[in-house]
Amino acid sequence: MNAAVSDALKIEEYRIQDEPYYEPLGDEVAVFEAAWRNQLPVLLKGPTGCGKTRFMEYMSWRLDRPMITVSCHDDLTASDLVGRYLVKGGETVWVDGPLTRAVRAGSLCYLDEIVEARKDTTVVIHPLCDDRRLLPIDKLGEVVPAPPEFSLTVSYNPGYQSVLKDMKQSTRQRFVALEFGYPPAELEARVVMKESGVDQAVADRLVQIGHMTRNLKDNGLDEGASTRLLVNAGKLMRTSVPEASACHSAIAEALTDDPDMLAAIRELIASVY
Amino acid sequence: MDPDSRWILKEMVNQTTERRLLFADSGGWQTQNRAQWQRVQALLLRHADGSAVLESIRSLDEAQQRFVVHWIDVVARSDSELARVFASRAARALTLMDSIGVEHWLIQAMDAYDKRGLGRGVAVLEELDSFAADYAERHRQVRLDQQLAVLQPIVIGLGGRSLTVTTDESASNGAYTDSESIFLPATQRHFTDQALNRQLLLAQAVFLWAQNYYGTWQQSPLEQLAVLPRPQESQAIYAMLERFRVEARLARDLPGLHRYLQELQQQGGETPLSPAWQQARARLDRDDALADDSIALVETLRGEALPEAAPYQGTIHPERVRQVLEKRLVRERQQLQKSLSELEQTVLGRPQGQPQADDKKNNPGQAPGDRFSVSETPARAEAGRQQPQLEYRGRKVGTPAQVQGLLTSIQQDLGEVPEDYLAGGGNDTPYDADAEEARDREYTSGEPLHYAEGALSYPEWDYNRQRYRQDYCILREQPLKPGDPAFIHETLQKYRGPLKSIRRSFEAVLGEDRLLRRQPDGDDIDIDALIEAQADRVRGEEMDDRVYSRHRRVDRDIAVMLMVDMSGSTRGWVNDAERESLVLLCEALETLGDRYAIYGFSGRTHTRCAIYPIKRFDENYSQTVRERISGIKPQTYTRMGVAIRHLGGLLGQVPARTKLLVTLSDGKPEDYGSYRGRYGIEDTRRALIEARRSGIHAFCITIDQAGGDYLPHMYGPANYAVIDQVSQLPLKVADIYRRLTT
Repeated sequence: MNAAVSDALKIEEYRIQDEPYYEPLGDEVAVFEAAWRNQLPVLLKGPTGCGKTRFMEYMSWRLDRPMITVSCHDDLTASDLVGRYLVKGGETVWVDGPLTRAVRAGSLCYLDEIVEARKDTTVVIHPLCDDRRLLPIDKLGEVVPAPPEFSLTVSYNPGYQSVLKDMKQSTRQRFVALEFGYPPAELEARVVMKESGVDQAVADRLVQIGHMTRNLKDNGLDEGASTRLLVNAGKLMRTSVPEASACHSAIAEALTDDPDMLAAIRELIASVY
Repeated sequence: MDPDSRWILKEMVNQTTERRLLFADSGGWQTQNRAQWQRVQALLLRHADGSAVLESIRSLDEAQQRFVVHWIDVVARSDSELARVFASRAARALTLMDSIGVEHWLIQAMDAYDKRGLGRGVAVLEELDSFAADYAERHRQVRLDQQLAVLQPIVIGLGGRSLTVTTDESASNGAYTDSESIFLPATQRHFTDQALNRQLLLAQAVFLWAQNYYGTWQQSPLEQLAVLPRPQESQAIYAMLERFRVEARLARDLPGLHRYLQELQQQGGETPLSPAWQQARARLDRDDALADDSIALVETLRGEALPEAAPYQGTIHPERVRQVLEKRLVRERQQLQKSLSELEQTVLGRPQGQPQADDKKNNPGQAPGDRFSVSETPARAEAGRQQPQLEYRGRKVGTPAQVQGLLTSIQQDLGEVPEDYLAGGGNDTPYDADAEEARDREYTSGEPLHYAEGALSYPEWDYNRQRYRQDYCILREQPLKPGDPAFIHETLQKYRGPLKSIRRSFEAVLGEDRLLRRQPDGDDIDIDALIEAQADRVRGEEMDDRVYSRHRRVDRDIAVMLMVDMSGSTRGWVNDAERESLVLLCEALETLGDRYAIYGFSGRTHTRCAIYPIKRFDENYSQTVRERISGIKPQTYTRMGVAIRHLGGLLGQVPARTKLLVTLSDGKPEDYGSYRGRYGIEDTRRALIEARRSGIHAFCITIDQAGGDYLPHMYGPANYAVIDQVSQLPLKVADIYRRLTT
């Protein structure tokens, strides 16, 4: 098994080599850096696809720290983060989870959509997030102190309406919060151009369509098209998919299944071309 | 091949050739249906005009021939004469209608034949022309209500002020807008083709949207239009000029839409413009052309023949726009000022309870208008195209969606957001609590007071004083008279289909509760898996590491309190929708096993607040409860704060991990006397904050379209849902509940 992975880098040794493309919206880069230097955990708020993960990649490059990302899902337990005993050849072997590895290596740990995870994860997050900066590992009877370079970042979409997915005050008040929104039109067009390689006119039209769908939030759509969707549509166009059909597949169908709504978005897309 | 079979083959070829001769050379498909063809041919040739009829059928294309022959054969099984009459008219029928129409026509004839004999059946067939005319009429029109689900989102998606797509009587004489709604004809039948009519309806909606968006109805041109001489002529010229200007804008911003309008325009055929109009149009084609320019051009075009109107152009009603606009200007100015001062207090951290007046006195140099500004106020030509950005003391601030909407709307009316609009509130009239109390007393005097036995007292938050009025509200639980049990039955019948899927989706939530076996990690050892793994190991095979079991439990430790608005304003279908919602939700909750209680609330003045228990937490969903649901009747007012305090208290006593307070409502909290507007909202907000402090999640489902203006303040940004159609309420409530708790 060891031979098989010898070429691959361990996750805590992996550094992002090239500067990831990121357009700052405000002073978030400076705030994040200050939080990191002061060993404060950070909470990223914002709708899906507006650049939270890209921001983290950028910060990981900028601070020259490895980053471990965990996408939280509704069955993610504390032991998925901390680690567990696995059975190997009739014996049990302890294997560190991603959070433990991040703490030991002093890297950035990014828990995406933290509210999706099971409630028992707060047990390990809380002591890591206050001035103790400790990761308790129950099953080993150990406590791992976090080095100064370690930083925990979680993301959270406040638009969710489920009371079970609300973030408790006791958790959220441990974080420095940064709010992310959709960028202003010009900036967004620049992001779309850069990411998908389309030209200015095409990007402007995509952003125009994006705004139209965002107008429909709470008027039939749960969420408007994210920058990511616009970039996806742009990429399809670059690979010679006609503009309208690229928008339809990458934006309209991705947003909704409702036939009336699809018809409406189809007309909106057609109005731009 | 032996000689015999060669002979047979030759015969077959001959026969086929003969048949081909008879039915022309329309491919080989007749041979496949040889029996049918032979029957039809024999039938028709029995009559003198048979060959002429066959000739007419032969002139049709293949699919039509097949269609006609099939039906002749079918009809002939009932009556050969009827089939013959059909055959003789079939070709003509297909020129008048599509095949579906022909089928309708024939089936009507066969029905008549079945019921009233051959004579009647033939008569129907002979009335082909009138049937076809009727059919065309019925199938060309498009009904607005069937298109609304698509048109409304399009209009909202395009941006600017949210316009409602609807209809009224005058819209049948021409679609128009009053700057808040777009009125379209209830049925569109301008073209003979249904698809074109559907396109036309869409075109009318977006054209009227564009009028609003590109400033045809801004205050300035509207005022100038009102004072032009010969109003009728002026309005017609203005409407046409604005059409050209708006179309030029569309061509630039939304080329697809512009092309779409042009296609429709060409359906009517275009007549060339007179030189004067051409000149005017060229002037309005410019990027910086404004509605004011159209006004200026009106005089130059008097006496010129008006160009032909575009089919989607509709008509204009400047008077109605003016009425709506005047009200809106006042309303939005107040709303904006209120929102801004709230924004300043809550988000931007200006201390609460420091009234505007003091601020002005203490800092005369710092009028509120200096603090807020709108950045990048676009040039007037760009009005409505760019989203205004709010700044506070020169710094950009996050603009709440509601404020953003107000700014957009104001900019659409005035071309900019004037500075005095940004001067914070300050127009709250000083509040005289004693006078209000005196008024309350006056109202209640002479009636038996509520302080009697069984009454409970609750405090109320007075935002003016920034303190509670202790024991101010007197509340009583009152029994509800049972209603007609038939209502429950009818509701269950009516929603039989949706109810099934609601139950299924709720069961799916429950289905997640189970023991997961063969896990790599878990609470317990999965003995079966372990034995197998051990056996594998002993045999020298690789040992499976998934030997744990994990109990995956969806702990539905939820208690929910449903608070139903029983105020007078729910009278009628809102009340029906509320009751239906409760029935469906109860059915669903029974599947889920969540603990729940339902209470109605209403009341009149602080001394007679009433709570109507419909189902207590410890009651079963029994026949009595059902009858109480059907007995829910609109009462008086909505004093919401005290109801939340009382019901929140009840909910607080229930041991559950998640406690949810759901309000079904139709509007703002309001009661006789002082409890209205900001006072009511602030008290309700306070009561909800108290509830939240005791671990209760509050959520509001409302049918008040303006709910977005005040609910975020009361319930928090994501804790409410506005249902836009009352009829949707029963279906949505269960759905929202499921989303809330999964």
